[in-house]
Amino acid sequence: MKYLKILFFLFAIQISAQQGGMWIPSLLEGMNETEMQNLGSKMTAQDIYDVNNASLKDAIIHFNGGCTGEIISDRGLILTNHHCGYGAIQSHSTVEHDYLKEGFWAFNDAEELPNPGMYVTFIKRIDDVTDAIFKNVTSSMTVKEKQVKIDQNIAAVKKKAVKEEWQEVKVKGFYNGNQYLLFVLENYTDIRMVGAPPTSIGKFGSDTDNWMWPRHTGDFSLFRIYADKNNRPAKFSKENVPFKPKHFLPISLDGVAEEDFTLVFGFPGRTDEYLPAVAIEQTVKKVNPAKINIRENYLKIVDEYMRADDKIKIQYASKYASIANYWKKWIGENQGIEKSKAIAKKQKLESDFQKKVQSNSEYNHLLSDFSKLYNELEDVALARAYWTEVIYRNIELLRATFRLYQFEEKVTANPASFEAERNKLINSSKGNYKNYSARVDRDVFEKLIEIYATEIPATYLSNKLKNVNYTDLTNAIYTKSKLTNLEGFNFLLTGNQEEVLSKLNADPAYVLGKDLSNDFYKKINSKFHEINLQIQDVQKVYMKALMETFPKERFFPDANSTLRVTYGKVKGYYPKDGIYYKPVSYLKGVMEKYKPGDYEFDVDQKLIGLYNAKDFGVYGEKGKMPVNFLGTNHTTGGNSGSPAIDAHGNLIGLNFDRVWEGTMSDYNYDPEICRNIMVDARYILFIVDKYAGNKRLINEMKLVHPKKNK
Amino acid sequence: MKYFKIYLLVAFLSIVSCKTAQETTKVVEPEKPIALSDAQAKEIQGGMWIPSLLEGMNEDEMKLLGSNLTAKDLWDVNNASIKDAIAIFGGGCTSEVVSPNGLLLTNHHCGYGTIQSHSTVEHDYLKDGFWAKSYDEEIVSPGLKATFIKRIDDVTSQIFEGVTDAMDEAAKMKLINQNINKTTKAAVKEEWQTANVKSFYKGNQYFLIITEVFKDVRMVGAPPTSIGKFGSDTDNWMWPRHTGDFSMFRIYADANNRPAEYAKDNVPYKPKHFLPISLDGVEENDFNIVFGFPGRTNAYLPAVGVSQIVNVLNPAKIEIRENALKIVDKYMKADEKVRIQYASKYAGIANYWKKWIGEDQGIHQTNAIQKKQIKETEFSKIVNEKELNQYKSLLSDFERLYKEIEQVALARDYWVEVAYRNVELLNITFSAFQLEQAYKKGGDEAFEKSKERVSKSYEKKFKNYSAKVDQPVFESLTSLYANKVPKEYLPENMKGVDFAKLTNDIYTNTKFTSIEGVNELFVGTPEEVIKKFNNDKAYSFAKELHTVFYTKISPKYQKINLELNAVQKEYMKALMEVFPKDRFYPDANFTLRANYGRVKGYEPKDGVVYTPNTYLKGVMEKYVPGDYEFDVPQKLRDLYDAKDFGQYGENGKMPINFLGTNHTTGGNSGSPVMDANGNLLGLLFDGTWEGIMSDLYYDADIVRSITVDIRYVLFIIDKYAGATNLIDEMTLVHPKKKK
Repeated sequence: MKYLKILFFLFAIQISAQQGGMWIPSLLEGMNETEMQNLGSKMTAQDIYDVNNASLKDAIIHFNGGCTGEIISDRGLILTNHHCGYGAIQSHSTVEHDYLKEGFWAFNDAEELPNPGMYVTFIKRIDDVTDAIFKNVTSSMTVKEKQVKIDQNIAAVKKKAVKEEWQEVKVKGFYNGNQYLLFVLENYTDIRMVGAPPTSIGKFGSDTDNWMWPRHTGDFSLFRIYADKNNRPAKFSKENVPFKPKHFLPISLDGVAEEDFTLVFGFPGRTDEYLPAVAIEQTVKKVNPAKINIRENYLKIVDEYMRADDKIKIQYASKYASIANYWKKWIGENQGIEKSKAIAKKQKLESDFQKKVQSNSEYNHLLSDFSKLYNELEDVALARAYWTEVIYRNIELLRATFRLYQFEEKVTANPASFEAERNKLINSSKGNYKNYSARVDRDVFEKLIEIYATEIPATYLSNKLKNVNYTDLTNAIYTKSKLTNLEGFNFLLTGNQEEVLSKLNADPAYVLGKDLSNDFYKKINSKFHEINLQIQDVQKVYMKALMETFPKERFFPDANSTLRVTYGKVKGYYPKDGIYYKPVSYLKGVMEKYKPGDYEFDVDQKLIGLYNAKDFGVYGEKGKMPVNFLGTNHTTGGNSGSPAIDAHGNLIGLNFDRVWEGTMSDYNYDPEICRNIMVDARYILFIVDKYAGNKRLINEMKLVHPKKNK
Repeated sequence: MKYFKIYLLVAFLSIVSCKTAQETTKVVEPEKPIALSDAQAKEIQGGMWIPSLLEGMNEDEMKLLGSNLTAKDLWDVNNASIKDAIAIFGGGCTSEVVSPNGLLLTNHHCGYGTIQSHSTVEHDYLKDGFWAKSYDEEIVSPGLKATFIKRIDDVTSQIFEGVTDAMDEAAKMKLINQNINKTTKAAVKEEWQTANVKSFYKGNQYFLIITEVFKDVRMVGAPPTSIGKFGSDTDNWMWPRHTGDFSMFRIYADANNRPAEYAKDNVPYKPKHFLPISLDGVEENDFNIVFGFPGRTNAYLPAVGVSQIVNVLNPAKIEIRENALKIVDKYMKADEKVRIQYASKYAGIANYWKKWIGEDQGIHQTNAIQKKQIKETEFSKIVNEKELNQYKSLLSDFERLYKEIEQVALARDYWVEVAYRNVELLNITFSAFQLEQAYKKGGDEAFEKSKERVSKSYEKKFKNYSAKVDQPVFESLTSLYANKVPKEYLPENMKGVDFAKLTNDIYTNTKFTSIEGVNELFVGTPEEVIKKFNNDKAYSFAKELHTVFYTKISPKYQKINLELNAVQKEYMKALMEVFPKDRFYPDANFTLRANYGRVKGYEPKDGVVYTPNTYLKGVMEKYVPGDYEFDVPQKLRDLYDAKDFGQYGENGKMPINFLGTNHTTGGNSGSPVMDANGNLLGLLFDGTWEGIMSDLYYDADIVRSITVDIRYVLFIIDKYAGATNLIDEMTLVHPKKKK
């Protein structure tokens, strides 16, 4: 056996770099299982996914359709991110009980708050139904005929699926439609709010720290599933009882060390790992730079006003942050693609691919098809980006005209809806005008409309913006339009349908906005979708071709909001020359960032007291309180709230973000710089126990010491 | 003469081979000495030590840190030692000799003025760099000096001769100065040498320093600023750093190898010692020693003094500059012309603003004030126990004097920051104010002399002046001044004033906001000019402000400060008596010092580690084409792409800068950083922001000096500039590799 071990050791070194990928939990046996064990996992594929016996997957839920959550007690206690529970926490908050600001803690079941409309989904079973879906689909069919047939087959498969009456089924395409899986699901709809830290903990660092490391956010909240007396899904009822899970995650108190195995289990939303080089190139060299430039100009103007005027600072802080957020993301994405040499790597792969498929008439034209289609797409993709960024996102006045345009379309098609639509519009606009400064928006308009007119591919430029003096245009619109304040807006919307529409169509901002919106629907978006459909067809065949051509490569299906496993290890990284980011952050760092009264970096007095007293209970580590840690797990949006699990299946953390340098992982995962960010489970327990004093929740959990000798 | 040359050569070889011998024994040793823990090492780092007094404690500490050097290797009056390779460069930097032909290495920022003075539109050596491929091409640089230290003698007893406790401070000072003159005159030295007496430990000890000042120093080489000043203002005080901050000069001597004024017949200077250069680079925890001329520190201030700096004075200055920066920044962002005009001024203001913030943070982070307070409690206890009555009142004297000085010190800072540094119009009127003072004192003649100087300075100032920018700065800072300056120092004409109105009035009516206006004022007889000044709105406003400074603020400040100095002197003496086992180094005073430590990264904040080395890769990461701070020359990019690093690279990477725990300050710029055997590892050029408080308080956990890796210097000379002639005259060694 000794010999075998040594052999295994050598093998492990070789293969330990195998990280990245979002794997289907029902198909882990073989390669994935080996890779995980090489990374230090003690689990078998069946420990993770087992249809007949309790397994890890029984503790994982799709939280309200967008996030992930996990069960951490035998009474259906759900752990997910604060930002996943945010809407629910907000909806329960009032001026008297501001649960966002102060946090919320139910000290008994009766205090738990129901959340109408909220649901969580368990995956009971995953079956491969590819053959059934492709039944009678032949290569002689047109794309459209194929799709019709596939849709029929999907409907038939769903109908025939073996399931309990309270369960549901879903069929999803994988590998760009080359494989189909059937999911049998259970949706629970009586979900109650149990606990949430104040935003100064749960959202600490807010926009500034978003995508950043070192991070110090206690991004968690707690809910509970209630079931009927048979433990089955049921509508909210007082009679419902806490759900008894098939499995719940024990929580490790032993923390993490660099190189420790980690597994993240959840519902990643969307990735595009198999795009051709030409597509990535278009994104990072054409589309991203255009969007970055627009936002940079917006940010510069708004920043200046915010610095000069405190009122504007308050009005625009959140808008500024959200515009800056994606601006930052795109820059990070571009840098990451460049740093990981993703394009060159893809080109290399493609030239290998082309060599191998040279004589295969089904595959040998794929890359040139891509080239042709992306070439065709480029102008319209750019136009779409310009339109979206300038008209829809960054100029508030034009965004308002867009909403009015949709309103006109709706009420013209259905005059009966006039009153309802008008009320909706008026209600939603109040908040917008509260934080609106025509002075700021006017400058943004002048600058961005000039960029739009000069940079958008000429075919897509509206006649109204040809050969105009932008300053004059801006002046004319902002002096004459009624849409620059709430009173004017209300004035335009007063009267019957005919009056309102005729007033609207006399307003200079609306006239311009309507024209631009028409352009978007008639010229830009339709063409974009048309080409994009063709690209999807090629992508599907290309995916199949890649898997056939490189049978030994690791191919995981792009994320599609289905349950996946991603594994890796706890690991720091070098963001740039001379700097190393350590994998674990501590409460000390919260105090370093502390800015009294700041909307992002304020720290609660109670937390400061605990820090000063070093009162960390069993959750601290050598006199320090761990807060967040980094892993090499390949995650994306939808993985928010996913459990980070140790080698034995215990919970060690809660996934909530990625680092900026690795945001390109949706296109190209690189273990050198792609890192997911997790809340250390001990910080969660510390907040629940020491900060909130909620022992009853701690008591229902199972705390374990997997690292200490048993 | 040939014999003499050979003799020299033999001397050098013996030094080199001596190191080699030490190295060999180290390699042969079966096990490494037990590594020092960080906590142990912390206790024996910091300090700027007098090189003639290293025997004993310093020598032991250096050994513990891994040095193979003896005190005599560093300092020996009779034999060649490392100190013979170290020279003051110009008036404020350090340099070292790196070849038998007097080749001098210092920082680019130390050579900057000289490089600039030789630059023309056709030959822009700042932009393009400069490399002399032969002696003939080396450029004579009048006024540039290199000063070697030949001897340091303790002359304390001579200086204090006749000084008694009964004397008052003024009488003591007078006698001490007389004794200094006498001692300097009587100094035993060669005729071409110079003698100076300098005070140490706040005037408790005096040393006579014999120097040789070489006056024919020629420019040999300099990289372009895109290498030598890479990162410029943004990277100043920052890590990770990627600056090739070096330049090269050569000392020329007369036929007897002695100092001489420039002459064509002068020959390259033959040093008693020059530094061999290590090609083996550095690793974390390697011993290193910096040898140079640190300018000024204040390590022994009482807690109340440090607290006044970081809690009262710095915040006031930070607030003033923050206000100025905010306004200037806004205009710079909006207007390209303003951006160019104000870029350098903005950077200058931002630089110290950044420094003060760093200083405050460093003092807080290291709990320096509390630590000083604890020490002072202990001090009082021992003083009481041992009945050292002469020291009993020291701490309360400090309390009283710092309390007394606080308001006037604050007023002084407000005046300096508002009236002198940040509001340009006030600075401009200050020159005019001085002109009026000169006229009052010295009549027409003094007026004309000053006028020339003032109008020259005006020409320069107005080139980059924008009244549009200065006006809101004036409004914001004068009203801040009126609100915040201690009331007794507020001029009458700033009381109860509407500053918006006042500003408007001044800027619409004054002639001091343009060169044309000023020139108009300058027309006429001195009397007429002064009269016109006094009729100008800006001038008459500012005159009161400047008068208050000269009549109220400055005299009072000076007076209390003198008293503080006297207490500080006693306190220094007392500290050394009360804590005989503590490590006391004399505050820096621009004399030669040795500062040892280790190569070490640090943790600037939770979750972040700064690694101790940077590489050329990082230059490429920072590269912004065409940027004034972060452009990278094509040639360097090509070398990077080709990984053509020659013998200077390390595992396919080109090292650039590294960090050490050495305790350094201004004046140490250009200092050699040497290894355990006295070989040159790099060139010191900066300290990190987090450790900027080290002038007040040193902490080995976060104080770091920044050094150019010598291999980067060689790489630039050799691979980038192709100046192999310079490489050839150096001695490159491999102390770490087995032979």
